[in-house]
Amino acid sequence: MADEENDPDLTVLQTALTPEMRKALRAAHLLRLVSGPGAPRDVRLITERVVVGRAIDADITIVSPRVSRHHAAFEKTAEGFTCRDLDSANGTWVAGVEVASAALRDGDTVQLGDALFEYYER
Amino acid sequence: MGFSVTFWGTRGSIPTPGPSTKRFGGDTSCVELRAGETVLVCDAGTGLRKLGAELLRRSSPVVVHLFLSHPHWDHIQGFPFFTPAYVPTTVMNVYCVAGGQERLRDLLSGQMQPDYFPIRFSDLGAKIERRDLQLGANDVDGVRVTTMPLTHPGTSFGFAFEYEGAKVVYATDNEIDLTFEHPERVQDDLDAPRPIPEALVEFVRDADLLIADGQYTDEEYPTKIGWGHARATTLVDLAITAGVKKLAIFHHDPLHDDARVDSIVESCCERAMRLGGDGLRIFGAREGFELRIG
Repeated sequence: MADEENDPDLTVLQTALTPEMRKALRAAHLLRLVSGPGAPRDVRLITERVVVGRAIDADITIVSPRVSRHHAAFEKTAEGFTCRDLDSANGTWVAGVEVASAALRDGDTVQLGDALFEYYER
Repeated sequence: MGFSVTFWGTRGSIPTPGPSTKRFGGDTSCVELRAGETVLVCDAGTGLRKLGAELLRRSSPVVVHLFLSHPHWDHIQGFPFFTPAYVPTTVMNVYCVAGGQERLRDLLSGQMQPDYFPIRFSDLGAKIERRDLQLGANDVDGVRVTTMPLTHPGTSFGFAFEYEGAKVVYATDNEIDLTFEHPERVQDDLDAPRPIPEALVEFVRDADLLIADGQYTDEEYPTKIGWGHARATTLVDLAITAGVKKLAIFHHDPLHDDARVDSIVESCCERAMRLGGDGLRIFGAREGFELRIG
């Protein structure tokens, strides 16, 4: 589980939220970009599907030639989130294994090109 | 559609749900292979329950080809909870290998007798067909399936699946150490290369993915000789000798938590480096992992 005290995005966002929305945000699982372009950065997984890629219309844009335009998607399930490769050129690696998809667990690493994420459950 | 493998149950012996096994999973043996539109399932351990829900979500009618390594509990217990078996439009082809699995369907249905389970096998709505497999090569809906008897009390069977030039081998519950026959030598120079049965090497030869029983550590194995499972490190010798690309350590011991499985994988990786198998990728089979093959 990651701390949220030094998360400026979260602080700014929370000022515009209702108490219920703030509660939901705090309960949301966390995707932490720990290395690669744009790191460090924390993203709360508050929607059903979050696409990561180089494209400007990706939910999380990573500016890197090693990241495909739409590289992978994080999809909500009953048990948490699944990471699904979107036919990327360089593959999606979860906990060091190249996968087509993987049910994520607390502390998993997710490598998309040169972007390394960590996934934390709340 | 391609060729893919999904792990639905990776645990051996008995289900072990809980926080200490959350990453690798607590459900018993069940692996799904998809070859184009064809769904092939290896074993009906408790992981089969979640696969059933997923198959119903994906499409209807459900058509599956079920291969059972052997009828020990951890390989059949999920069957009564496979929801598609209750749906009349479902077709289940249950394969029995000639020369060892003739009683398999009876054993599968036997666990649904009233003393054990409230619903009878004969009341299942699905069309459940017994299909025979020959020892050696067979064709199943365009997939080449080769069978081989393994070393396990009561015998287990391994299955090699080949599709569009790629190969996956499922070989669980298999005591591959030849020291099985010479227990007094089991602790001899653990770092030395270990002899592997030649027939097994040929069965596994050039697999893109080998899913194999690696239940025990080197320390545990001497007290488990003859129980029908391998020490994980010996799988490395098999994989390197046979030219395997990826090795999934499978059938995790119920006493092993996630950290212990991690350490087993690490010791296998170290052994691979020592034996010159730098190109071999090794990982612990984990519930919810889907891999593309080839």
